[in-house]
Amino acid sequence: MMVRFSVNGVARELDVEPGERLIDVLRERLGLTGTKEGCGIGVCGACTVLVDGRAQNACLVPAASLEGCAVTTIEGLSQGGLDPLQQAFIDHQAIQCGFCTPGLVLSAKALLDENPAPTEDEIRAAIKGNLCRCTGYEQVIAAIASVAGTGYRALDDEVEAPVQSPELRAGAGWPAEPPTATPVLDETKGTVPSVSSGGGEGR
Amino acid sequence: MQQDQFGVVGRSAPRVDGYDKVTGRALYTDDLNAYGQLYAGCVHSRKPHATVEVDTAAALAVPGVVKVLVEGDFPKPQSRYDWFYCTSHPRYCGDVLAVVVAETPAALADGIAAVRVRYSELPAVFTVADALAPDAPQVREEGVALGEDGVPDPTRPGNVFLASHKPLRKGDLAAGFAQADRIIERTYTTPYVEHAYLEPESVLVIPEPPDVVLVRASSQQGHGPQEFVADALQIPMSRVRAVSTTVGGSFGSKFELVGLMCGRAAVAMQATGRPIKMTYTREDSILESTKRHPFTTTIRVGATADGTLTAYESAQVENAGAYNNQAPWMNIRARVHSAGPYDIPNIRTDTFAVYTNNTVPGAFRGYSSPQVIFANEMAIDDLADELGISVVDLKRKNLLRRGSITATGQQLVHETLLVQMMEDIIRDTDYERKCRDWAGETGTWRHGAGLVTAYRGAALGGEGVDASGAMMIGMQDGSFVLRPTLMEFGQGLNTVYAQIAAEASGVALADIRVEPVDTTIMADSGLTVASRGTAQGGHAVRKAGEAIRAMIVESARMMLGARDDERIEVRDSVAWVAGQPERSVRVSDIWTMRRYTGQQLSTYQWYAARPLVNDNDTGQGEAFQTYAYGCCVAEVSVNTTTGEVVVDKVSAYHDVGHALNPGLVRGQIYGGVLMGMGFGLYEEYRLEKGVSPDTNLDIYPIATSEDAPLISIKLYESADPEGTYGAKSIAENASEMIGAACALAVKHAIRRPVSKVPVTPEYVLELLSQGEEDAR
Repeated sequence: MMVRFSVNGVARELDVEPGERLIDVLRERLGLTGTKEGCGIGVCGACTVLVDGRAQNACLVPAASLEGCAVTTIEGLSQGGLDPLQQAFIDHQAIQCGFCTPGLVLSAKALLDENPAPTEDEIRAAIKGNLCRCTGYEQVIAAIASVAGTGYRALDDEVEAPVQSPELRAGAGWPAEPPTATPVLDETKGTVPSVSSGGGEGR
Repeated sequence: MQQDQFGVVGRSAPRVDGYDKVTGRALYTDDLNAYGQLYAGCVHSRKPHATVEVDTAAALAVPGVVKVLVEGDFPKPQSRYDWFYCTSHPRYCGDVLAVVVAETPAALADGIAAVRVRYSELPAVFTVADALAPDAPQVREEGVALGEDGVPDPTRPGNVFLASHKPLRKGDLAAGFAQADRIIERTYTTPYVEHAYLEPESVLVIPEPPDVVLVRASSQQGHGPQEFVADALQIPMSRVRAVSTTVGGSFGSKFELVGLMCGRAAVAMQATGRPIKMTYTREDSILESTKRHPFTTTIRVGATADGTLTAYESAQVENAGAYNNQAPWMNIRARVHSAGPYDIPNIRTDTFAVYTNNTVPGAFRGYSSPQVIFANEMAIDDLADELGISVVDLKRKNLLRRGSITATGQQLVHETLLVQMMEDIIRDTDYERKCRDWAGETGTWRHGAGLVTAYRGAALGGEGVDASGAMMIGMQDGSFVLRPTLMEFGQGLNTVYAQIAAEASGVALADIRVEPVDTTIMADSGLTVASRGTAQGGHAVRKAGEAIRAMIVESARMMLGARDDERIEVRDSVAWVAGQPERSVRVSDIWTMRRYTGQQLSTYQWYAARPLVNDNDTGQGEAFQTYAYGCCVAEVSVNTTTGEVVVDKVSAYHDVGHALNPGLVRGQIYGGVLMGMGFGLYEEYRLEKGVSPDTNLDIYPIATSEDAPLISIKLYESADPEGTYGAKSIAENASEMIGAACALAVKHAIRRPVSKVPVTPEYVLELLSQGEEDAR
């Protein structure tokens, strides 16, 4: 059957099969491979796209249901330069393997379009359908919160410097070349240096 | 060099692949297509042990199906990595019985469904205990029996994987136990765990006339696909070119299975003369991909009344599944860490794997350490209970310090911060007060905290040869290409490599482009594993950068007319005479000059870590060049009515040596905490007589954004000379302690002995039904 809809602002008219999914249309017919398939059953969120502004799993959307809809994929988000969310994902190291990233960005986009200043709980709820095995979500939430301007604990952590060991504090450094033979113990350095980095929660 | 002398490393540089990944431009294997490609997929065994007859007639009748390959169509059905490209004798649910090739994905799905398999079932074993029973069916001909002394007996047949046996012998065990005032013996078990990277496996194999095969694959290993394709087709490796793609996570798994898929696709390519794409569904991926090895660990440990550890004995027995390519190496690490981060004079441990008709386990982030740490830390905690002393005091007495001798007899000569890190974390988390306050709780919700201390051999160490290569090629405009031999698959290695190359060379970070691993350009330097990429692999990149810097300095000296006693500085792609910034020249001008005067524009460097010597019969020797230290405290709430466990906070303290990119280090830890929580509390790939109900991510649970606790990270830097610019490891360290800390926290909250992970609500209720344990 013929359906007319738009993808990233471009009008499309396609003859689709009854079982054809939106993800197949995007990836196979339109070459928009930024939309990823991770599970095929709508639980991982890697195929998240915006359909009329709402985040949807493209693996669950029948292509035949798209008549009159406006679809936005990750490719459509950066048409006039990076979206602030995309830049924030880069700035806050919210990306690792990147397979879930397009879906996470689009879920965050749908959230901020509807609620420009979400709480941490609202951010967590908005992306709970986007599984990520790499990042632990912290830097993703930090990126979203930075765009919203709402603040987040992981943003504070970014500026905390590592604790320096006693030898480093005493001026030792790191040689470029490692030892070429088994090093031996320097007895003068003792065994129990004091590292203590002060009280509090360490953050 | 001190930190302030570094210009590029030590900073959270943005990922070099960040723009591509955030815009959807990054191409993963399934995003690639070749002209005229066919689609291939696999028919997997649904029985754990059988011989089969495969009827392909109905599948071949499906419109669009081009070929159905069975065992006889493979030049070499068994791969060089133990398990099979295709077999008619499946030994687990997941063995591949046929490969279907079709014109379209839809025809492929119909074709796979139409393949008829007639099974003649054979006896099978599933648990380690069943496999070790005297009359158990033998899973593999190479299996041996277990002797009376708990050591494999190569003279009798059985199910023990002989090559995986790694004994550790130190001191005089009997004398050590004789000194002990208290001895406990406990058994702990851990489950199969699914890696659950978000990208399912995909390979694309393309014939390149006249006789080369091009492979693109979602492989953790750049060179792995080349090896498998040459093996499957029985052709020289020089005729196979593998070029790595963007990989959507791996955590240790995307090696053997992806290699097997490459081999199958290559045979299908040979049979059809066309490019072959094989992309797994999530169901295929979970069924056939490797899992974390389940451990059954029995520990006997003794201490004097004041808590001084005197003797430690254990058997660490893994379920090897039906095939196994990892246990012989994994168990080197499992042996080294078997007695934990403690100074114990007398140790005897045996680590080995046992064949069953279960899913094939493989490498998984930590490479045995989450399992080892869980059992070891539970035993130490149980021993402290038995002694009636605080586990913190017990640790204070026994933790490794600088100068301590490890279980393998290696003296720790570099800065060893473990004791101090533990003092920091118990102070910062108020661990001891919380334990006291929570010990008397009686309400529905109980609280508990678990403390874990760990050390981890940094990089590959004695597991293998820790070598790597790197090439740096300059263009006449001053832009550079860096080619490493180790792989980026999400962890951020290419970004850190670019930083190291920039630091070492003086070329600006923005002028360095990191290219994929290509087997026709870079030689095989081994696997990207063991958290070695930065710590040891970085040395090759550093050497490449230093070689480029030497060229820059040589040319700049000539172009600037600098005297021999004048020093040349290089930074951000500009070279100048020290103290005279007006006497400067751009690297782009230098490289233009070099280009037109016929001078070398590139460098290819190789690095191999200093060799380590370990005795295979005792495990004694220098096991790793150095160690990374970690401490973790997990705090949980447990609902005693429902068994629900909520992780409220995880504090993770890591000595990373030198954080070359602190933002990426934190990312490893945040992700590692959630993965570790799953191991401790809710992740298990269940197998019932070799069959799993866990077929997709709706049933198999991984952490969502709403499961994350408050995470408190503290990074430590120390004066350790072994790694690249002082870096140790973090990727596996980040995850290995968390499960044990969660399990300990639950133990303390409900005051019941926890002997297995995951500590599910059902298990919590089962423990609670056993009655109150005596207060400690």
